[in-house]
Amino acid sequence: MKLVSLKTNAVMSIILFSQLSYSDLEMLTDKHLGNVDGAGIGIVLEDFIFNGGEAVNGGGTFEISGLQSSDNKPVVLGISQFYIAGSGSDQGTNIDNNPVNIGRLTNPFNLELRDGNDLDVGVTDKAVFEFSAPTILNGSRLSERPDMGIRFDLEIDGVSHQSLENHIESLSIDGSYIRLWGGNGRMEGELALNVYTPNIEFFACDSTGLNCGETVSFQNVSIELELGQGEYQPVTFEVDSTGNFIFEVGTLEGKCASTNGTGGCDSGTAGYTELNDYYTTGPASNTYIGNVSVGGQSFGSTTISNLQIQYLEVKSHDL
Amino acid sequence: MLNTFSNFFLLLIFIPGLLQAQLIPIEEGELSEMTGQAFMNIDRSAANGLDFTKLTLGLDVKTSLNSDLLELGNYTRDGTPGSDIKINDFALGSIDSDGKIVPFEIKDPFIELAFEDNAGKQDLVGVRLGFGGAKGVLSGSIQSLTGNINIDIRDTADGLSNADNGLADLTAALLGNSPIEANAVLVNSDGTPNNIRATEIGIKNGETFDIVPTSGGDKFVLWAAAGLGIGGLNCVDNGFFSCGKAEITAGGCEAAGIDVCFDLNTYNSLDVGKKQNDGSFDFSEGLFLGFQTKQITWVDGSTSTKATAGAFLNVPNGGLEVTLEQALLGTKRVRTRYADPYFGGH
Amino acid sequence: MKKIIMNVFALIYFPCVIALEPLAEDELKNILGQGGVYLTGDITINETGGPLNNAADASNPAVWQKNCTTASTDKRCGARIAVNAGDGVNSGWLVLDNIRGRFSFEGMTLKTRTINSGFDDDGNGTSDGAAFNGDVLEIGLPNTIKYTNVSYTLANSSTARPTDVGFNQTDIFNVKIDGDISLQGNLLLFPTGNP
Repeated sequence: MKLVSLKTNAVMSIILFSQLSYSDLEMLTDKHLGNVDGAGIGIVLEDFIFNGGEAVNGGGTFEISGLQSSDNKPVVLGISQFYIAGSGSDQGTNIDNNPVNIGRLTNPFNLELRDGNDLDVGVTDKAVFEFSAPTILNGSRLSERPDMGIRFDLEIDGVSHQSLENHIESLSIDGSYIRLWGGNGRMEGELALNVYTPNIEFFACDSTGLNCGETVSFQNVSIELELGQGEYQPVTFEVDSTGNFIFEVGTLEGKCASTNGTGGCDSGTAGYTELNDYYTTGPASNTYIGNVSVGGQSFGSTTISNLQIQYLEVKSHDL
Repeated sequence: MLNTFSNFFLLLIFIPGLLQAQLIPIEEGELSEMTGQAFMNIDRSAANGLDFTKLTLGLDVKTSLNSDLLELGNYTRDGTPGSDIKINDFALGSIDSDGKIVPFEIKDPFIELAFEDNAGKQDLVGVRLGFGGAKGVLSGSIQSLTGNINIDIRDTADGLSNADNGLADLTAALLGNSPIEANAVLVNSDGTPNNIRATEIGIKNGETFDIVPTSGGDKFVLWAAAGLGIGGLNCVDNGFFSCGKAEITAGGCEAAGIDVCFDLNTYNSLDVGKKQNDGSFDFSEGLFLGFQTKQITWVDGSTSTKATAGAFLNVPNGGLEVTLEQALLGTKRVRTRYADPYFGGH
Repeated sequence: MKKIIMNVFALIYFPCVIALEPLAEDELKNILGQGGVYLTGDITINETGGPLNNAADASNPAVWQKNCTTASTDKRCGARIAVNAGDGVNSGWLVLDNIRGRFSFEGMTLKTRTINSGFDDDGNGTSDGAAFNGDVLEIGLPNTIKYTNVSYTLANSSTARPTDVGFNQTDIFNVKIDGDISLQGNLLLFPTGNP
């Protein structure tokens, strides 16, 4: 039997996405939930390199425009280079033949529909979409921690001003995740973002990318951000009817059935146990920067410890 | 070996509903309703030999948050270990007696970078997170503070009775209704101003308590009291049997026998904002948290602020106001949690 | 009249029996099959056209409403995706607007692969491949993606479409890409949990 290959022109089917896309997730009934048994899709990038920008690959245009200065002059950020590559990228100069794995076969990025009744999820009787990074246990090793950086040029009203550079070494986002579900007629979510890196550098150069100034570096950076807790304190992102967005972390107000004379919640009152659990083991953010150094001079460490957000509302408006 | 063909669809390519869209001719007038300006501005400016790049976000932020520790700039400075800014049990916002959250409000936050030209190279010498406007309660046990903090003491002379001092009591009794004004800054315990890792705030050497009576009767009493040398009063606005303004000068953390320097950690909650006549607060501008590699001057409109190297917190004039009682006795911490350890855990 | 051209060239391998002749064992040993799919793509979105008019001109339904050159900022040009994460009635839309341009790539591959070795942190750690010991779907990235005048705008809008009543849009920023981007490596997909 001979095999013959045949080239053919074929029109592939493309997924048509409706413009009107509501992101409510349909509630799964118990019957369906019974079939959701924690299976997901693992995602790993092997030998990965990403490199693009106006100063690489033969040049071109890579820019973010449409921004303005406070006196309405047009602002353009030209991206000279944006890269993701392996260790030793040397601020973007050593990219070729320097790939990186992102995620581990035994601990991959994971896309899954979780059972909302799981203890760590906390959304009653709903399926929760979850995209998560590798877990911290057995987390990313050096060959799975990319170097990442961006160089961009600032141009205001047609005049190039300066070039800003930011380089991150051996980045790990292990333990991060985003969970989304439909609740109260809108999309709700919970976020965790962890950033671990031994070194982040910032410096500025002149508009041609040369004559770079002293480097400001943040060493031993560990940022752990947790926003929201299931349906108890959901995170929402909406656009209002005037075209401005509203980002909210749910309020704890009203969680206590009745507050005492100074506004607090007494033990024994309905809602106290959940509030107390929230304060002791609920979502908390921590930031630690081991050393901030400029041109070799050290300015010490920075710590923000156990930050808990009881309420947050961020609304944008036109400037 | 047999090969199988798999159907492969390209992700990330979306053809919109243009194939199914309703087509209604759009008038030019309607097209012009699109606004272009969004919520971000990027600016470049220069002042005092420095170049600044500033990203301003048009945001209105309301928040209530708690943190066990806020510590910036923990390093050995001038031979002494310590932190530029260290606040335990830091909180923004409060909970009132009805159990309602009163959030800390921030308008138009911005990030600004300062550059110095050094033989053609652009050295990054400072970065700050600033707020176009801020108001609300800031709580914490302040262990150490570096920056420019101005606390306005505004009260009537009545408040002097809190000073636990005979002369002060007398002055309070005589001039109870007269407005009194003073400015407190970060100081050492000897009254010299010190805005680096300060642990005390007070009226610096040579600065004055000003008593500014409004009624004719009070002006007469003040004239008489100053004439008799009561309470170290010195009249600086003399009239005919009348004194429009008298000063008590502070030295060595004392003014007429009254202690005028206080540990920062006695102020457990501070109202940030511009105090209005009706007691409410409006947004105050110029609040920022900066990090500098050397002393540089930040510019906000017509205001210039010199910031020292290291971490630096700037609370501008008019940003914090306390009464004499609060200044002399400290401020109690407000409730910041529904189950609050400062309120017995509930 | 310009048309949206959207062609995807796919090289498809499928079995096609032309003649049936018994092959001797020796010859069978020499046949090597190549598994998988090798793709080359060239996709253009709204390069020069605007929305199609399917009603007004009965004689020729495929008439472009707008002349959309790359310089045009007409809101009816370009593709558009709008997402509403709120309650749909009182809330607005996050929009990717004016999506247009052309991108092409060569050499994207798709195949299955058995992994039972390697992935050992450059020799410094345990072999994840050996512990994994399973099959993955390997999508080989095309090494270079060529973008030609690709642009889009991120915006907030009060309605889904520009033609809806009360339309009011705030553009946040525009992105424009015209050049080559290196995208190398393999994307490995596999089931996790207990399927």
